[in-house]
Amino acid sequence: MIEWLHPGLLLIGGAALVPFLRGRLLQAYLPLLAAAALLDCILMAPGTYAAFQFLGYDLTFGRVDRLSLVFAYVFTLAGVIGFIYALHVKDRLQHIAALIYMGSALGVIFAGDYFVLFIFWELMAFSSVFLIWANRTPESVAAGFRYLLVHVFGGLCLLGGIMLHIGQTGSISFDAMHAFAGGTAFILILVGFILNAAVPPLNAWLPDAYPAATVTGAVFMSAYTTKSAVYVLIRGFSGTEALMWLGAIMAVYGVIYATMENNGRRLLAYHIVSQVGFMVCGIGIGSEMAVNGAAAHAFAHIIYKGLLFMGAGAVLYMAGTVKLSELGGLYKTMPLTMIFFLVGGLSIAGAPLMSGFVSKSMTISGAGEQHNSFAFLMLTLASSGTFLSIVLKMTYYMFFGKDSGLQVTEPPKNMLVAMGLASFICIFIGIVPQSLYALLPYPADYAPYTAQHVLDSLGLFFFTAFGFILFMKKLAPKPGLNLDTDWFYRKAAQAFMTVVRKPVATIEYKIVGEAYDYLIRTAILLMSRVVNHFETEAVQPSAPALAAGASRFGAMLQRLQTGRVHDYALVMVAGIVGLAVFYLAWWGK
Amino acid sequence: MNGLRRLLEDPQRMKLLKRVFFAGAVLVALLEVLVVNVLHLGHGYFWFDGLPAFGSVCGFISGVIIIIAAKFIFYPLLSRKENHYD
Repeated sequence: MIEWLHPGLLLIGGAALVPFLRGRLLQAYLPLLAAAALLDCILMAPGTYAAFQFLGYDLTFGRVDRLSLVFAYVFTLAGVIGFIYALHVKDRLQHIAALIYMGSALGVIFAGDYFVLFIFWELMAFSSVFLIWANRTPESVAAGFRYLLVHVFGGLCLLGGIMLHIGQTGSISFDAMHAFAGGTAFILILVGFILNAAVPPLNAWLPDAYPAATVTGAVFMSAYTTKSAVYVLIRGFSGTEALMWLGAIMAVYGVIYATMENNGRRLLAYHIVSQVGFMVCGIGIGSEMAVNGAAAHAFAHIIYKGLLFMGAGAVLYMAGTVKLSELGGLYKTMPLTMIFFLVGGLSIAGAPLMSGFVSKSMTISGAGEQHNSFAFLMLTLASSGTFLSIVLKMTYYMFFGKDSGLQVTEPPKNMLVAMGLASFICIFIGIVPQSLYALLPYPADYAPYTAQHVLDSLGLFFFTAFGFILFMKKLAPKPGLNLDTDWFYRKAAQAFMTVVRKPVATIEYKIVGEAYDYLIRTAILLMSRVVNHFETEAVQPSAPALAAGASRFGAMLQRLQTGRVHDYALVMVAGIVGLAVFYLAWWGK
Repeated sequence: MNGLRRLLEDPQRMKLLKRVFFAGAVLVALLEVLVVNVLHLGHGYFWFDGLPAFGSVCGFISGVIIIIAAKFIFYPLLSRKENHYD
């Protein structure tokens, strides 16, 4: 009997079978494999499993406790929904990439030491990039390479930090880092982690890459990379004050960009930045309630964000575009998609009876309990902005507004089933919050449904909507893109290349190259002149001279060939005498 | 969805919908005052979150701040053509 089976191993190993399955068998296999991983997580008992010795270090593949389990449950649950949503996809590359990506995210969650963590951390980046490349367009190839480069940078920061940390402590175990706060190792590891959490200014890879992913790929991507970063931040960096500030700023940063954005999937990507800001802020506050709030919000977020990406993906899949300026009036032809999307929108905004309400308010209350008015107000501001940009702006311009005249229908059944399932979970958590609170790392006796809280939220929504109606004409989406910090490696890198191409290349070709050319050419010409002279003056005349010499020697030899035996004998005797004389003269001394 | 369509495409009904919305907004704001400031059923963390109709006022101010910041300050600064990076 196996004591503990790593769900990541199940998924990554299970990916090996995908190339051999086809049709209905493959369609049944994928969600069942994810469901098996979910069941595996549910059956797990807390403890430490799969610990090995390697080069004198203790590797731990299975650290199972309340914190890792709550993330494992939602990761595998999102996988089940994601694979149902992706059932119609024939491209096996995407299924394999998604399985490895999901498995490596679980590897990160259960890793008990930095070595195992780093391996799965990198595997996550290198498997998920295929969900972008699978689009097979020039844009997605370029976006995939940028995504990879940024994550390689983050991975190197993390690796450098880990090396320093091992050098200082001699241990590779991954635990709370606050004892090392402020050190280089601490900062490097933190930078590696917050890059994956898309904390500004290290955020731009996310809204750059996710809209370039495939319809189904984006659903998986929205779940794992940022939330595994939230997990490692909770584990290692709870109570790091900088995170409170960064998270609060990030929550507002995301919604401002989302409000400007025209591309629906990029708008949602900016809302990942914003929502992860709530979690990062909660981690920075560090109290039990705030950290519980961060974990609860990560759980709820994975489901409703997946739902929103599924809704936007369905529109992209059916209408061929998800740019708000090109959409409108889809509620007539895609009513179910519209309802599911609205459930996701109300959840992310934190409307009562939806999952976001019971998770987000925990973090905000956590900020309140610590009397942190900055975090409290920034997160409230971000809540209003979330409602504004998703429920009002995106829903309105995608499903209502001016009719775009696009002839579309509802997406394939499997997509609708997946969206329905996610909607059910959003509402279920909203109505029965104890089902989520029971899973949290610390005991939670939080009551979200107080009269004041419900009314405050409703007031927030009603009057945000009032502001939206006032400025509606100004808010109409227009085609275009908005500069973010990726400008530095996209445009500034181009400027760097221009410098390289223009002055540096000019100096190289026009001056260094020419000079080099001139010197070499002169030397070669000189050499060839010498060789030419030698050839014409010495080599060429020597040939006839040699021939004449050979001819004379031949005539001389001819004279010796008399044919008489005694002449030969005389020559032989003369030769022997000569040799004897030579021998005596040389060796006789 | 036909009911929804009739609602949205009929100006008369649309006007009614707007009235319902505004009435709802006012009702929620009044209930907030009633629950927090008259009945004292809530509890605040700061001096400001117990002010009358905090959620409603905060919602309006927040919405306007986000719209002004996004559309009037950052959009003119940061917006470029779609082929900017090509």
